[in-house]
This record gives sequence, structure tokens and C-alpha cells, in this order.
Amino acid sequence: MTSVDKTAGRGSKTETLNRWWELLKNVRKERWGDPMGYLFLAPGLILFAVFQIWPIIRGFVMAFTDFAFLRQLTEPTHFVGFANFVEFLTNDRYFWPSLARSLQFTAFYLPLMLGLGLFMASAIARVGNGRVAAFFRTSMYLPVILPIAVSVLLWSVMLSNQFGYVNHLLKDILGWDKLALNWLNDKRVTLYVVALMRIWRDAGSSAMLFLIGMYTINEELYEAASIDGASGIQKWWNVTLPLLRPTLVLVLVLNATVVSAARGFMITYGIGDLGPEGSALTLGYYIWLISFYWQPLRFGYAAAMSLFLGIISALMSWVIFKVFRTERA
Amino acid sequence: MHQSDLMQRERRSRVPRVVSRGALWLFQNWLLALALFFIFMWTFMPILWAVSMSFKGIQELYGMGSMRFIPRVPSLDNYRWMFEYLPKLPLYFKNSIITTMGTVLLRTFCAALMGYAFARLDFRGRDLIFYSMIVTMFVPRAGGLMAQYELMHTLHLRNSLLGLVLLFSANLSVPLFIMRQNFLSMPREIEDAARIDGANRWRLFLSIAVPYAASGMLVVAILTFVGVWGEWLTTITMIDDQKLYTLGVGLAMFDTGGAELMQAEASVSGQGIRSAGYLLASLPAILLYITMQKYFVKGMTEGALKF
Repeated sequence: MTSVDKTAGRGSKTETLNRWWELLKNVRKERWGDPMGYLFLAPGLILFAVFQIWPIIRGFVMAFTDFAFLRQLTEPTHFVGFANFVEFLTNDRYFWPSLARSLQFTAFYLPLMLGLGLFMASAIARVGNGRVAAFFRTSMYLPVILPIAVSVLLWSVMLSNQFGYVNHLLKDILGWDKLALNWLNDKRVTLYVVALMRIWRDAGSSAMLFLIGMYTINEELYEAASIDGASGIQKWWNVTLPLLRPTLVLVLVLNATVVSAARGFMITYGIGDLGPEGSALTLGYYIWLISFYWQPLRFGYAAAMSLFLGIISALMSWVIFKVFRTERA
Repeated sequence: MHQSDLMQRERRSRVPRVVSRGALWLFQNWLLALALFFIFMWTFMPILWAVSMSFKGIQELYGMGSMRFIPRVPSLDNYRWMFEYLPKLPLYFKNSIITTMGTVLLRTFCAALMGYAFARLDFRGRDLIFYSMIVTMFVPRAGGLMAQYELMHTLHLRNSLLGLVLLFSANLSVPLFIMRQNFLSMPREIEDAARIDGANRWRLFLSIAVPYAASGMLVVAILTFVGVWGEWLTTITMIDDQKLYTLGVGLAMFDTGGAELMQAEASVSGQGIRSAGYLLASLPAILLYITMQKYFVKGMTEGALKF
């Protein structure tokens, strides 16, 4: 090669250069593959890294500092180790009651929400007529579509003590005067009332996932079951449920978190209002108030609490995942 | 001619049968019918009640006949006075439209690009990046909102609709998953033919992949629209300036608009006006979903969500 280069002069010099370039390109291709891939990823990946990944890392670090948003200019932020965790676990009179409320809320909300979703999906999946099914699919998903503030406020109106429809129904139509409570201002029921609002809204989205799972089940299996003389409920139990398992696991894992419904309580009672005798203060709401409402916006302390809450939730979904996965085998 | 004649006759003869078949169906499936009736009442009751209230005058809302579903004297006064008493309503609408449209466009665009790259292009670290983006969904967010607040503050994106758009668009895990699934189901042959004709990647993506995955993009767009239109917690955290409130947030503040003052007006009331406002605010999302629901369910069942 080199001897040819000497005799042929400039022309073949570019040829060698080209060869080198080819070689380099091949190396690059072998190592990095199609460069267009990174170009296609770039816009989304930048957004994702800046607004999703960074906050996760930063929030995690924050949990171990005494960072307070309004104090950061006057006082330096210190790394405090586990002091935040120690503080709320031992020395915070709101923490344990609000965590208890969140757990109570979750225990009431999750089974009912998923049960209702499964019930709606099972009923609608059995409708044969396409138009009727479409109508009910829309009606089931309607609450999900409404702005959250609207759904909460609609229910607040329905449940209002004097002019609400629910109390009218209970008192004037059914005659159950004792059951006509002051729904939004009775500290015994506030938690469940707001949970019901959330159930009304969220059941549709889990129902949609269930329904999609049911639509992908092979129709022939039902026909075979019918030939064997299975009743509707038997078919549901023996065909639908087992084949719906992957969807069930997914929906369960997606929803297995400690639900605090901060939004529901904030919209119902107004931001900063803790409801009758503080009965609306769930942990999520408490965390929001500490970080964005009560001076000096103790981000570090709130982040520590939210990390604690996140770990409980992660454990919950891990347990559910394990239980349901092993049951299948 | 003959065949169409036959079809016409058949169609005509089907009409009375549908009615009796419906009755028969009800008789045989009364349990299912009961369940469906319950679903209908459960989901529609609060909405219908708001519709009813929005057409009621003050006497009917707070008077004796207030519990009738169909108002005795239906009036449009609540709608007529709505903009008078809720002067910020058009502003909220505008803010909502900007935020929602911006997010729908940006997020669908990013998700489609990324989904295509993850499904069709070959590059180093592809699967690693993909799975870490999916796993992020399940990572507990310790103070994610606080960190986002700090970040937006440093970037001067708090109290800005652009900030909201960027923040919402970055929530890419689910849309990305849907788009990747869509592009994976696209046969390679379609692309190969065009590649032989010398089209580059970008052209392939635009002219072949995007039309193919249109249903998936529609699902992403609808999910995004519905989610962002009614978003509450992030917006209330990031936006302090009332001029920048979106509908989802502004609605909850309707009460502060001097409801007592409104009652002085003879024919309208705070409650009726607010109900009208709630309905108007929900209308765009509801209409979008109703018109698109066919494609939505189709897109979801057709491989958008295969686990």
C-alpha cells in the first residue's frame, strides 16, 4: 500500500484516508450501532432525565438534609443523616395519626375500587351488542375523564347536608333519617366519603384494563365451556378469572400503594383546611402541607417522610407481585 | 339489483324482531341488566344532578321542589350569567388549552420517536435505556414533587405554562411503552420496500412508521389530553399566579368568587352557576373521549397493552 501511495501521490492519499474513515465508521458501528437511534431518543431522553430522573435523585438526597426552601438563602443546608427519620418517627404528633389514616383509607379504597372495576368490566364484557357495550364503556370511563376537581366538587354537592341529593334520598324517599349524616363534616365518616369519591373516579380506569384483558380472551373457550354446560358464573370463575391473571397482577401492582388522596381532601375542604377535627389529614396531605404550605417549607423533612411512604408502598407491591406470581406456578 | 332488493327486504323484516329480541334478552339476562342499570346510575348520577342544577333557578335550587331531576322551570340563566360572575373562566380555558395541546403534541412526538428507536433501531444500550425508563415508574418518589419544585424554580419555569408543558411531557414511561409495542407489531417488510427505494430513517419514520402506529399515537394523545386537562396537584404546586391557573385548578377556586353576592341576583345562584361551570370545563375532555372512544378501545386492545 505505502509504495503505491508514494508513486501515485495525492490521489491515493485521500484513498487511504477514506479507508481509514471506513474502518473508523465500522468500529463505531460495531460499538455504538445505528447513530440515528440516539438522535431519535434525544428529545424524550433529555426531558425524561431532567424532569423525572433528576428529581428522583435529588429528592432522595434531600431526605437526608435539613433543606428548607425558604431558609436556604440565609442559612446553609446541612447533611443530617437519619435525623429527619428519627424526628418524625419519635417526635411528630401528626405523623402516626396521619399514617394510620392513610392506611385506613387504603384498606377501604383498594378492595372496593378493584372489586367495582372487576364487576363493571365483567358485566360489560358480557354485553353482546356492540353499540350497547360502547355506551357502557363510555359511561364507565366517564368519571375518569372529568377533571379531578369536578368529580370531587360534584360529590360534595351531592353529599351536602341540607341541599344534597343523597340526604334527600335517605330522608324523604327512603325514610332512613338516622342514616342521613352530615357527610362532609362528621369526623367519623370523612375518610370513607372521600374514599368513595376516589372509588367513583378510579374504578373506571381499572375496569378499562380488566375489560381489555377480557376482550383478548379467546371466545372459543367460552363456547367450549357452554357445551360442557357451564353457567355464566361458572364460566366467569373458571375461564375469565384464570386467564385474566396477568391483567389482575398488573392492576394490583400498579395500585398497591399507600393511598393518601391528598387531592381529594384538599379540594373537598380547601387547601390548608384539615377537615372536621383534623380528620382529613392523611400522610400525603401532611407531606404536601409541610413542603408547600407551612413556612419555612421544610423540603428535606417532607422528602424523608415521602421516602418512608414510598418504601412501604414498594414493599406492598412487591409482596402482592410475589404472592400472585407464585400462586400461578 | 336483485341482491340489493333482497337485502332491503331483510333489513325491513329485521326491525320488529329487534324489539322483541330486546325484550327477550332482558328477560333472560335480568341479572346482567340489573348490573348494567347499577353501573349507569352509579356513574351518571352526580353528572346528571349537576346538569339538572345548572338549569335550575335559585328558588328551585334552595326551595321546596329542589330535589326534582327535571326542573319545573328550566332556565338558561346560569349559563348566561356564568361569564359575568366567573370572569376568569375564558382565561382558565385558554391556559388549559395551551397547556394541554402543548403537552399532547410534545409528549406524543417524543414517545413516538423513542418508541420507534427502541423497537426498530439497533444501537448500543438500547434495551438498558428502555428498561430503566420503565422501571422508573416503580421507583418510590422520595420528595419528587419537592425536587421538581426546586428544579422549576432554578430554571425559572415556575409560574409558567411552558414549565407545565415540559414537566407533564417528561412523564414518558407509559406512552413510550405503548408506542414501542405498536412499532414492534409493524412488519419489517413494509419498511424494507421503502428502504430499497433509498428513503432515509427520518423519511421511513414519517411516511411509514407514523401512519402505521397512528392508533397507538391516538391512544397516547387521548390519555395525555384527559390527564392534563384535569390535572390538579402539580399545577397547584407549580402555579401561584391566578392568571395562569388552568381550568382543573381554577374550578376549585370558584367558591371564592363571592357566592353570597350572587344570591342577591333573583334568578341565579352560586351553586347553579358553579354547576354550569363544572360542566363546561369537563365538556372538551368528554366530547373528545366520546368521539374517539371507538379508536381508543381498538388501539388499547390491538397490542397497545399486551403484557
